[in-house]
Amino acid sequence: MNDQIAIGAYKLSKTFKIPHEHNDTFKERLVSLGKSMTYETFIALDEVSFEIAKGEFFGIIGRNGSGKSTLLKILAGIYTADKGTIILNGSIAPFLELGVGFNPELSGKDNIYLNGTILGLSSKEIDKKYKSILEFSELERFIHMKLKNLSSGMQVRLAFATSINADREILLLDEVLAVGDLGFQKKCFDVFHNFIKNGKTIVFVSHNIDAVRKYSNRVLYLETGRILHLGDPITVCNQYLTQY
Amino acid sequence: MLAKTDLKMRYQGSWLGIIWVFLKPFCLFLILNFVFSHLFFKDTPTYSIRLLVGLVLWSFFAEASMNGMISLLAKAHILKKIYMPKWLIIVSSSIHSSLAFFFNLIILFIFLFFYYHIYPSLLHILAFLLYVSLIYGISLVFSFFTATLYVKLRDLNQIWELLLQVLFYASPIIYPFTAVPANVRSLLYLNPMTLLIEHSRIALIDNGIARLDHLLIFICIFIPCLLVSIWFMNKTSRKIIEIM
Repeated sequence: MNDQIAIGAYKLSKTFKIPHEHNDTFKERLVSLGKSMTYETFIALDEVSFEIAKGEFFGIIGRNGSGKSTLLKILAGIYTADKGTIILNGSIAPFLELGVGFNPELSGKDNIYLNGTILGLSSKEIDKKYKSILEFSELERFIHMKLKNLSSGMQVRLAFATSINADREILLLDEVLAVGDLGFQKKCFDVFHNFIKNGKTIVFVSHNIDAVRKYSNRVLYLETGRILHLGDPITVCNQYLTQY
Repeated sequence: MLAKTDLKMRYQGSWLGIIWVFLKPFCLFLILNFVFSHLFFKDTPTYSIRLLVGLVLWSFFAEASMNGMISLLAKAHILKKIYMPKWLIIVSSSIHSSLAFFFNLIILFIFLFFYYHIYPSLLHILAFLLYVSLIYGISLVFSFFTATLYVKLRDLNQIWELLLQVLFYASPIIYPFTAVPANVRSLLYLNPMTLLIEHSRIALIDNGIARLDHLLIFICIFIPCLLVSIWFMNKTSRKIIEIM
């Protein structure tokens, strides 16, 4: 195993069994006792292998349902793969979406603490980082308002500012910048740039092909659970775009 | 932290706030006390305090087991987005019930000291705390078994609510254990709450230590149950997120 590798995935497979009828209650189970359950099998990932180097900005593209999110969820440890192995070098941020656990009824400040705790920070660490989170999100005026009264863009800004302070070596980002304004998006990519310079790794899933092409070192193109292309961002993105 | 938010959420906007936590068991206590101490147990001077001990312990068990059972599904929105150890979610759900229990306990001791002038010695209080931690233990065992099952069988909470009602009358809460005919007593001991409630009363009110051999047998059964429940939870929680 190479020390320069941040993530190694070897022959990952994942199949979902989707039952035709949902027998979600004890009562239904009793009623349908003896009947055999019928499943629809859906192959989300089919022997996907790749390696991501440390300090790489790794883009993943593909159509809806091609297995991008499933792949990230397996990397994060939320799902377990049916087959294959994963090697992780360095601490991984175990989330794909920003603002996990955000509660609309609480104030922005409370939500920073809540989200930070879920991301594995102690309250002392959050105390220390609170100011920089606030500065980055530019929400000083709104921080004591309930989250539900903030615009969705502001919520994402708050979430993003909290998440990047989680201090992990590998970041998984699943379509996270869709709602931020242009200035904020630019700021985010500056942060990513800094991360990469410090040897951190970013896995970036997006439908924003321009951003993927511009910032990635390499791009993985998934189609129905298989790797269609893997390599240089310009070639792979163009291949993706020629489909339409 | 999760528990703290839970608490904040549940009682937000109600001006009685945290008072609700202990108002519930005490309303029940007032009703039951009124009915039974005047009608049936006129010659037992300590009936009320015995009832209170039983009720406080019982509501702790009922709340903790119910919250524990629904805990994983209730946190589905977070678990789908971020990796978290499942036991952490289950244990943190019980913190809320423990807090409510703690408040109830304070009131119980106020009654005990200032109304009945019963002052249990340190040894007896320690024994009582051991019984309490065993009650906490069995509600955890129950939660470990049912939290993952509840995701698959969503009417389990209704079944459990019903069973709790049956168990309430099958535990010596509103009646003393000695009122039960001798031939039924051993049957009653199948209910783990029987022993713990009965022993707690002996420690707190009668200032005695109940039969240690019973306790020892209890612990000898309890520990393997705990281990099996942890094993069961680990085994079943691996793929639980996908069906939430």
